[in-house]
Amino acid sequence: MPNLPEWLIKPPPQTVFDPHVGAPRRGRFVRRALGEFAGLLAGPFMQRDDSGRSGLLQELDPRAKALGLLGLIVLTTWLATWRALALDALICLVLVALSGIKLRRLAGIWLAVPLFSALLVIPATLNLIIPGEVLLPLWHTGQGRWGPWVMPDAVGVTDAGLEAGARFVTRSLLCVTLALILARTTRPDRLFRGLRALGVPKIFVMLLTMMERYVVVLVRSAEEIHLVKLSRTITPGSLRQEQAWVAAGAGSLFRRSRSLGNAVYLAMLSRGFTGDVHLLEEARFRLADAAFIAAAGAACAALLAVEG
Amino acid sequence: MAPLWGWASSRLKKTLRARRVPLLALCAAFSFVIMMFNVPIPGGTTGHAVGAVLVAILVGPWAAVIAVSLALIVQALVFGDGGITAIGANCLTMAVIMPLSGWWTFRLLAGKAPLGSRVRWFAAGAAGYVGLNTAALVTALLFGIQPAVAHDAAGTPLYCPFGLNIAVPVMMAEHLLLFGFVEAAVTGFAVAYLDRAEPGLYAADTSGRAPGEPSVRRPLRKLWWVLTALLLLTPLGLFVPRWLGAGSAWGEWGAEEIQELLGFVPAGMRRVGKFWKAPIPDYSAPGGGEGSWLLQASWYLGSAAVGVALLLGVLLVARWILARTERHAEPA
Repeated sequence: MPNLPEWLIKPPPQTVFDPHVGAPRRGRFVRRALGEFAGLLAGPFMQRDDSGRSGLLQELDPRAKALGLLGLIVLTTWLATWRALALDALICLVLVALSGIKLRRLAGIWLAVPLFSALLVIPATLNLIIPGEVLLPLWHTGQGRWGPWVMPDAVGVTDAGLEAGARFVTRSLLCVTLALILARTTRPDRLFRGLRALGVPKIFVMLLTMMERYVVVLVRSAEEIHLVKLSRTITPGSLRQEQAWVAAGAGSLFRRSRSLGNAVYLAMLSRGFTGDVHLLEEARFRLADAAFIAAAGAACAALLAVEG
Repeated sequence: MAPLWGWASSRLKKTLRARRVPLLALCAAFSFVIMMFNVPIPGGTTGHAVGAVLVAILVGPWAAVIAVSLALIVQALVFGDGGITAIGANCLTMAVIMPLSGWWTFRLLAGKAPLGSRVRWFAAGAAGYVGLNTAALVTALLFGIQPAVAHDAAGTPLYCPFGLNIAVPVMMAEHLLLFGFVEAAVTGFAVAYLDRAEPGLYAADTSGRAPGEPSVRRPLRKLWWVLTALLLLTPLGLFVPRWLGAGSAWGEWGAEEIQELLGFVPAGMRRVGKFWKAPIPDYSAPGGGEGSWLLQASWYLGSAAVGVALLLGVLLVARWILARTERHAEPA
């Protein structure tokens, strides 16, 4: 038998990275971050098929959409009665149908948002938070005291708690649906220009548009930084070392951002940038745009009337 | 938020040269991307840092206000993260309060410490911790007041159902014990890395100062004014509850109040209560005399000043110890 070094004979420690069984727990943050970067690159910034699909909403002026849909979102947060929320849900469904958004894209959101909101609001359904008639007693506290806290005799789910929770979840779902309709039917750069209709200054719109352009570049840089780490990691380091690596990765990304910013400025100068902000102007409002704003206004008025 | 964005824009316009426009856009994109970095935390799971204090240290506080605001606006508008109607609240806490409080803390602790010194790393870490926790406290207060200000005729909350007595302890416990340290680690280590890798980075373009020469006095003077104003407002805590007929703050009951509420004092509380006598009980004169309102307000002010001095003292002593050990560690 050849004279092998001791480190080669010994079995590898348990923490050795094996790509076939997944990263050890401490090393998973790199894979998680890579997954999130990949999700973003495959998301709204890059995949614009919904905004490119033929649909009534896609053809509208972004200013009209921003005004109409943001108005509906603000009003939705104010609704409290179930009749008004039901009407709002109907309006959302009509808008989804008009937008031609693929339903499977919305299905994930329609599952995730109620689940997340419900988790947040579940404790509030108990009579410890919202008093009311107990519909589902969960446990009896005996003397009604728990340390310095005065407890009800029986802790349980109340009718008022359930209603408040359901209202919270429904409202979140409707707001997210309306926001997604706006985002999915409008390319981000056009959406930002549409914000001018809400009085957002030109410089902010320009910064948003530039930022949207370069987020993708920086995400690719961040992806490279993480891939380099992943490809060179055999055994993850201590928690402190890993945190220091993440911070150094952020620092490195800042250096790239800064040098890219300088390069972009030089490119802008060479194209005649004088410091004045000019945006690509949207075409004039058409009849359909005015009709959409009027329809959104009518929907808001109907919701207010039903809300009472 | 609109007045704050206006203020930040006007501050930037004074120094905003054409060169800064793409840099600011890139800083906003940078803020957006570092929020996606996964940071390992104890227990094998991961969290996210906000990075607002880091951005403030790197590009100045007002540029950070704009950059982090833009990142949050894009998250809400394009991705639906955070909610469109919550943009104002999110920007107030994460894009204004966090970078400003963190930046002031950094300036206070870092002083004129040379680039690459451990004092700067400590200052950056402490700034991340203070910035995140200040933002978390304001968020908890915004959550907690909702049941009181927005409820239906039957008293059922219309929005966040959790009052101050739940929102503040829950938010602060997780941020003080866990997420604050994650933010501190990312901010401190990132400044340590950049100090070593690119010392000329802190050009502080917003102020026009020379690289590596932080101006400490002017911003600190403002910090002292803000602290003084807050100190002068502390007697409100004495009078407002009386005007409103409110009792003690929730969970801050003494043995007498517990006796009143429950009819008995829990044995554990009675036993532990003997171990600690506050030097300034109830922020009032020793002996518990009521005295005139002027006397009570004076004691309140004095207590607040002592509290602030103690807190600043602890941070400055920690900074001094670090600077001293670093001097000793330097080769002769």
